[in-house]
Amino acid sequence: MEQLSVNHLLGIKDLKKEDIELIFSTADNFKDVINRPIKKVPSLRDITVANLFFENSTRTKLSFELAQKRLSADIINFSASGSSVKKGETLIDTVNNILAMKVDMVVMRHSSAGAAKFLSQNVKSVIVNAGDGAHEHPTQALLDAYSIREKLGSVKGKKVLIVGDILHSRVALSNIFCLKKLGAEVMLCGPTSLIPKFIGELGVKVEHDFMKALQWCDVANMLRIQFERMDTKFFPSTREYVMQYGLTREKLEKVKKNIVVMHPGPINRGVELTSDVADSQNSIILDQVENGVAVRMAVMYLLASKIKR
Amino acid sequence: MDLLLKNAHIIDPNSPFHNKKSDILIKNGKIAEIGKVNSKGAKIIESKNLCVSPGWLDVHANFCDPGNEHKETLQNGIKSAAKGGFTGVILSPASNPIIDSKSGIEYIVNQTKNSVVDVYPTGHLSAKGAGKDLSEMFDMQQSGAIAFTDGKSSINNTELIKLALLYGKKFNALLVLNAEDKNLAADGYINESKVSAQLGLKTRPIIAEDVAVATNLSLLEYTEGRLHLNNISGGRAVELIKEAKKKKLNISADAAVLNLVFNDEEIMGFNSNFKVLPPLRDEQSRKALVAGIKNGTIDFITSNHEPQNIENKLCEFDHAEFGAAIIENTFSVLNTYLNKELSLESIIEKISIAPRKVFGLEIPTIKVGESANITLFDPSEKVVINEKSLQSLSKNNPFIGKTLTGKVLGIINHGKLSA
Repeated sequence: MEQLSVNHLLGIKDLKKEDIELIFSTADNFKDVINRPIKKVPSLRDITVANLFFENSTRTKLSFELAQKRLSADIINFSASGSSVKKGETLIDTVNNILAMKVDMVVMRHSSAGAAKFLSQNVKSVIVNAGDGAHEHPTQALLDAYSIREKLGSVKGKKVLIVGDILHSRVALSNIFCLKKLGAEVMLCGPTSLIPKFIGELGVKVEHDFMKALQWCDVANMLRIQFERMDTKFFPSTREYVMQYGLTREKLEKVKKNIVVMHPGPINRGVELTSDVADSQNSIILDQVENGVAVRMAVMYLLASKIKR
Repeated sequence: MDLLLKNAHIIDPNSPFHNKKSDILIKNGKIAEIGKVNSKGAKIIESKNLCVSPGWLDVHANFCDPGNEHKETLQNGIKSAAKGGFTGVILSPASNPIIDSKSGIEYIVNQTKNSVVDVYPTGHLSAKGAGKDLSEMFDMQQSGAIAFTDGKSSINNTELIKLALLYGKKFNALLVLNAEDKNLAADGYINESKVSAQLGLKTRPIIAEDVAVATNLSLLEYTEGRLHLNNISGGRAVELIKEAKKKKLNISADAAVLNLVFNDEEIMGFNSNFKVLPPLRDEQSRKALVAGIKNGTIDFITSNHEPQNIENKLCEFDHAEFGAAIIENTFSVLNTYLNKELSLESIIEKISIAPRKVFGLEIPTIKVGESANITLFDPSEKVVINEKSLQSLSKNNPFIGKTLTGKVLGIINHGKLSA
């Protein structure tokens, strides 16, 4: 397989296992590239990418931007949380206005689930979803699985635990799709009020006892509590959340297992995990960040061949 | 003008000619002859598989007039209804301003006088649609309001529902409620299921309906009033209504066409034309609804016609408005998608006779001497749905681009033919 089966990266749901493997093998090459003294390749020369961030982002945006620079793409950035909507401009109009300036690829983050898919149906451009509401965040899931593969040799057969607010998390959903496609076992853990009632039908286990879940897993992916997405209080207090689901050194020692600890960032230190865990040998959080650039380079490189000029 | 319907298959359980093929002569708006008819000068209507039935009635349509004439107008809404085979339409009071007083009712009555489609206005149950106080239901009824409802906005004020049920008893007011618990429905927009688990869209779970139906039925039992539950969408509600009917409570219910033919898998592609209220449910709920229609627990089927301009639909799914404008295709959709589950005869019954029974309207019959209130259709003819062929001003129709089976050929009402 030399080509992706899709023309856009809208979600992991639409990818085949072979697509993911192709992205990983391509990312391997780019990871070598970004560790060289000269980190830049001309792969995307003369291709213009617009980064449209309708929702706040620091690291995903930086990671995409850096990946684009390493690939020698021309970049324009547009950040405006909901501003076009506020002014009455539709998403299609906003994007078409930008595309009229001859842009080839759009990387978009948006607060609405399905926004990337909607855009791909209505504008002529290659679309990369950088997160759409609580739907998908495909590049995050790719870099997470890539990091597991790097650390443990493969993803297949590994037991991956995802902890926290599953209900509002696009990272969780994309991770579930990606890990399942690659043959990992997935377990979800968190307050019952933050785990969708029907999530079990996606072929994942649900365990509300954090210690039992830790005992089970090889990898623990600690999701950030997304206070900004909650319009109701799904649990009484952060303190009580931490008591039950915060990952501490003591809990890790209790399970007597070498568990790989991940976090998509940004960390609420002392909430999802304590500082000593975040900075420990178990943690691959900074590898995730580094791999993010390589994986995003791979995605954009592979999608560039789909650009119709 | 005299009309001669040639070799028409009559579907009317109240007619001596039920399920027979015959010619029908209509003179001066009345059925003059049924049998082998030769009439010179009459306009002849024929089709390969011409069927006729008592004129259809839609009980839940929004024509958006006054206030949102860019979505639909009364006059064009009437044309859409006629194209859909409906000789009667009961309008939702959700215009702008809303209809919660005599003047609003009179506007609809005056604007729709003498049209081929009978238009029946409803008034808001609560004053200003605020869900707090009673509206002047008696006064509105005197001016022509056929029922009282807050439309899609469910009333969660149990005291108000109780008062309305009690107060309306004296003048036989029919209350139509959309049963949904607002706290549980929150501001969600799709069913909670395996589908929602994959989409990250905010859910409007079926429990919101279950709880509200149970509450409303308790209030009905207490007040011994008269209640119709509008657009039921799940199995638990069907069970509860069935029990209530067994207890001889004065209860009736309906389901919307899209909820009967589709499940929430349609949402997988984020198609906003399937963003409707109540949301499409899972297959189990859909089957329970169809079973409810079959065993009579759910009395009839509505179009749930809700026009929306393109800007309200061609946008992010969560920003899109609810509704589908499908009054024109309601029959074709039922005939295409439900023909294995429901017979043609029962589909017709559920959009003609059954709703009239509930709303206390005279039931047209295909008998000599009766006024002709008739829908003409051919259940085997194919129709291609495209934007241009749609009469509705709004094109939020999920069937655009599709071919449906079953075509409405026209309606006859008040001595007029619309075909």
